[in-house]
Amino acid sequence: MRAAIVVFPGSNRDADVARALTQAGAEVVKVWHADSELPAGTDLAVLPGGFSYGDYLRCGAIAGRAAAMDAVRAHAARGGLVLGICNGFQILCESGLLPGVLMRNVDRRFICHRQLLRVERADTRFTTAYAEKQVIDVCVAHGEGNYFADADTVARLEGDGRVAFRYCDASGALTVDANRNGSLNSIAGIYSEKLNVLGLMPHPENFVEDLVGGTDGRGLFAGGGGGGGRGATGRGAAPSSNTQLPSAGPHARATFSRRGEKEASPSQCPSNSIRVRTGTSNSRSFCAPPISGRSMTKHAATTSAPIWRSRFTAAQAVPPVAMRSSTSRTRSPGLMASTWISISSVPYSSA
Amino acid sequence: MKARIIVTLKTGVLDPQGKAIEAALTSFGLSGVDGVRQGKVFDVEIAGDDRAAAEATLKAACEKLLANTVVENYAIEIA
Repeated sequence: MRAAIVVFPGSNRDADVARALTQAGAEVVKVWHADSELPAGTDLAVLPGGFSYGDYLRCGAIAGRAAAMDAVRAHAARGGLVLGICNGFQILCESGLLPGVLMRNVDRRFICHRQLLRVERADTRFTTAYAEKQVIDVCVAHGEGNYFADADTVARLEGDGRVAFRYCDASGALTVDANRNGSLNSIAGIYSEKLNVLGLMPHPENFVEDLVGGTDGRGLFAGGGGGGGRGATGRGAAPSSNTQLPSAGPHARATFSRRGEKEASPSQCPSNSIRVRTGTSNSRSFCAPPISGRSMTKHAATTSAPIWRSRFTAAQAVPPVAMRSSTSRTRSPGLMASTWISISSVPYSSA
Repeated sequence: MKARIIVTLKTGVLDPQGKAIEAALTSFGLSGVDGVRQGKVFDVEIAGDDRAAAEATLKAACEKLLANTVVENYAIEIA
């Protein structure tokens, strides 16, 4: 699997998702937003989280019209996989690849906490490593995640089974408390008509290590990223992954079913392979603190503070010796975006 | 030529910011405020003086970028 991560001015989860994909066995390339083509052989295009263009105008509005998005649109039209996380989901909605819009959270606050999600279906190319209705533990971090679409669109999404994830409690129930941003029908993520484009607000890429609280996010990359990746690169850990070619049709229920793999004992997998959970509900890491009701709101510190993230991003673009002098500590998303731009060799206006 | 574009939320779309502003106005003791909806205003300079062409340009700008027509309406005023 070749994954292309499109980086916009203000993207800041690109390194996180690159790490999660690499861990799952994918080959990762970063693409600048002004590029009009994805690298040849790209199977999965990823729009990472962050604050593209400082969320100016509307979240994802300007990024949704970037040159690279034409390439992503063409990739999706060919049946290629597209994954948008958080700001990436907002960009997908703004670019017309997914219906609806992400509005200001209903309580007007930026929310940043652990979040349980219910996997609505396990038969798409992204979710084969999960079980249907499995509850996974990841996190959210957004100010505009309140999914909205007109009634016809929501009815169509529901009728076609295009809701990917919903905010839920530990039992998988869709409660008001679990749906903190106020999304319609507790929608946390949706698919395109052909199920090859997935957008979601939560951050599975931040839950791929026990060290930072859990590994429930790995499944998404094992399905959409690593699963196909192992097949394509010949490093398949499971026999069924060899059949998971990225170019296969959208209705891949039979071809991509990996239920057999889920039952495989850990000893059958290489030590560095993806650990697939066998539980169907409330499946959580043993290392993670227990979740009971509102207590999950107390684990807000599982994601990095903006200060740290902005410095980390800068470190990739400038030599280590120059890192301190060329970055400033910033607290607001808008300033983070301008920091990013100022250290880049390509002016963002070139788009 | 100067033009002004006004982008507003469609009726029925929840506007948390408008609600917050309404609550703030009420808390100042201002009576009679029945509702607030927040929108955006764009002042645009258009080259030339062809009003029809300017209107077409601005309409394209609104449809393509300035308004998200899923939840927003726009109005164009050319001075």
